[in-house]
Amino acid sequence: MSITISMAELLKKALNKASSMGVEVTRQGSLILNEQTAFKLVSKLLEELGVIYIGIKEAVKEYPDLVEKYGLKKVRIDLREVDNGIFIYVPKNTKLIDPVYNCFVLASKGFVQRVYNLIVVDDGGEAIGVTGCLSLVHEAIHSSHEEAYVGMGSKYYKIMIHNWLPKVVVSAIKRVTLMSEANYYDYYINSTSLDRMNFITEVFHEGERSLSRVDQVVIGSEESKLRYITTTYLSASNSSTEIVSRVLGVDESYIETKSSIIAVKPGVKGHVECRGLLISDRAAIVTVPVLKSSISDSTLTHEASIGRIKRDEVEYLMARGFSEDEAVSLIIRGFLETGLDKVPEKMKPIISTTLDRLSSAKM
Amino acid sequence: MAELLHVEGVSVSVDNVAIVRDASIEVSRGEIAVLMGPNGSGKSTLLKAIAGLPGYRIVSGRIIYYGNDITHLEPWNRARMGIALAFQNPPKIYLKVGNIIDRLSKTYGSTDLVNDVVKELGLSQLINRDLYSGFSGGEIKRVELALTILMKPKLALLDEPDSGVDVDSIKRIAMYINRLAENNVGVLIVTHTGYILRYIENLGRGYVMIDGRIVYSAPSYEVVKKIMVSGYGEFNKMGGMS
Ligand SMILES: Nc1ncnc2c1ncn2[C@@H]1O[C@H](COP(=O)(O)OP(=O)(O)O)[C@@H](O)[C@H]1O
Ligand SMILES: [Mg+2]
Repeated sequence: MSITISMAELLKKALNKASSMGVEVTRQGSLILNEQTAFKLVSKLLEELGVIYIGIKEAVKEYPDLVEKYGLKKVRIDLREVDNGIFIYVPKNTKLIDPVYNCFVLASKGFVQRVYNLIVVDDGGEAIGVTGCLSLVHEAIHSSHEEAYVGMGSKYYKIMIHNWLPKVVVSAIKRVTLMSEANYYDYYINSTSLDRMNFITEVFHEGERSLSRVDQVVIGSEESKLRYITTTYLSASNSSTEIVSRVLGVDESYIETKSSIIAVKPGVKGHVECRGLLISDRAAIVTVPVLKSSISDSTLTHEASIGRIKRDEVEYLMARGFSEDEAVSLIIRGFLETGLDKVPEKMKPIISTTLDRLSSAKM
Repeated sequence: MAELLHVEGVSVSVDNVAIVRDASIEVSRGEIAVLMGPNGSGKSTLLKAIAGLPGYRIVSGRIIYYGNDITHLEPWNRARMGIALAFQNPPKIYLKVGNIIDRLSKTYGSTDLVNDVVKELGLSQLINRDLYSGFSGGEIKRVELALTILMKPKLALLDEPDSGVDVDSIKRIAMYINRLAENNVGVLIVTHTGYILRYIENLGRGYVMIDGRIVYSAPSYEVVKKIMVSGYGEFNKMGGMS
């Protein structure tokens, strides 16, 4: 049974890698290897609370009403053409304290992994989701569609950590709907090189006074070509959003970020902050902040910059006792920080350790 | 007093331009020495050369610290050996004040000092800000002094710690300088106004630099008195003579 042994080995490898990324699926979550759910652990507590955490294909059979009600609203795909994905439903007024993890793994050369995820945090609910995407092979494709519905007064925090390999191609589309007074925080890090990435994030503020924040920390290395297109639609009055990106250009990477805020209703607020840092002469960063408003009663602002590490910054830190390499990684670490004041305590260590690892590895 | 720093006939070039010429300065442990001089005379250049910043090339002379020649030592080694420079114009860096405080206090084993320094120097509002971006003059000086203290220096080089600082903050800054000296730290204060010196308890030696040269040295209060009375004009002549 060499096949099962190698499956077990692959799983072990994948779990280890996920864990090293802070994606602790073995605490509570699932791991999808190519098209298969290779690991799954859901705590008794979740079941008792009525939380549903299953594969999307099972969800279609077991919870057709929920999938029908919330699914495929902002994403148009044929579920028959999807390999796997997760369905999470957090019932009304249910607050999950521990993160729910899940991980997608590309495990064989040439594999095309097609994913659809649906996450519903019903009215008054709260959830923290941590998703890791990784590859064990150099040539493969990950194509994902994700929809999240954040109900009235609900909170949904999402961390996504990408860890690919060169020659991997990724296409991801994420669309999030926010009802009134919903609060959505999205934190994304991509730390590794890959061939090509096309990532679309769209947040729809459909309820009044809803809040969103999207943080993107992108490190482009080797010959990666990365494109992130993020748009928030402030379609309900008094809603507000922030899009914050940090892009580090290493090696020969090319990274494009386009962050847009569209103000539709009065009393809305939005801010785009894009910062790029080039640490290679051959890397390129293109950053486009877009603000669009058709009403006078809205406050939209943006701040964008692309720079290099300056000699005097490094020397300053050298005089404080840090070697040149230490100084550079301190500056990178500081640059990548988007400000974790609004992030739940449980998320902070995951983010901090990832940033620490990245800033020292990139030197 | 035991000698801590001896700058022996040092000349410093920046981009192949001679800025400091044949300067000699001594600082002992626990001494608060003062280096005065008009703008552009080379004071900051000399401090940066003592701290070992690349680009500030010592073309002749030696720097002796604790009896060792450190003229060619890397800046981080000097820092780890106890030489801390509070910059006159530190650069803006994408690095939170809180993060650098954290890093320094762990590196130098000064975590027990953090609370006091943050409170006394009024830094709590600045903790989450990036270093020096949009800081007022006084805020820069307070943070620079705090970082210097957290390095637990044996020699503190303070470049214009009083410029752009309100009276209240000056007193606090001076209190810390006095405290450093009480703890046997040698302090070299660079100031072109001499403003802070009235709050310093035990002034040591004073030096005047004009045009890159030390043209006068005497007990600090003599130096201050001379400058108060007739400005730097008098020294200009002396500089011309030497
Ligand atoms: N990086 C540099 N390149 C060239 N000249 C410099 C540089 N830094 C300082 N100088 C020059 O050296 C002289 C002394 O400067 P500085 O040491 O800053 O004086 P002070 O601190 O006494 O005001 C000035 O004429 C200044 O223009
Ligand atoms: Mg100066």
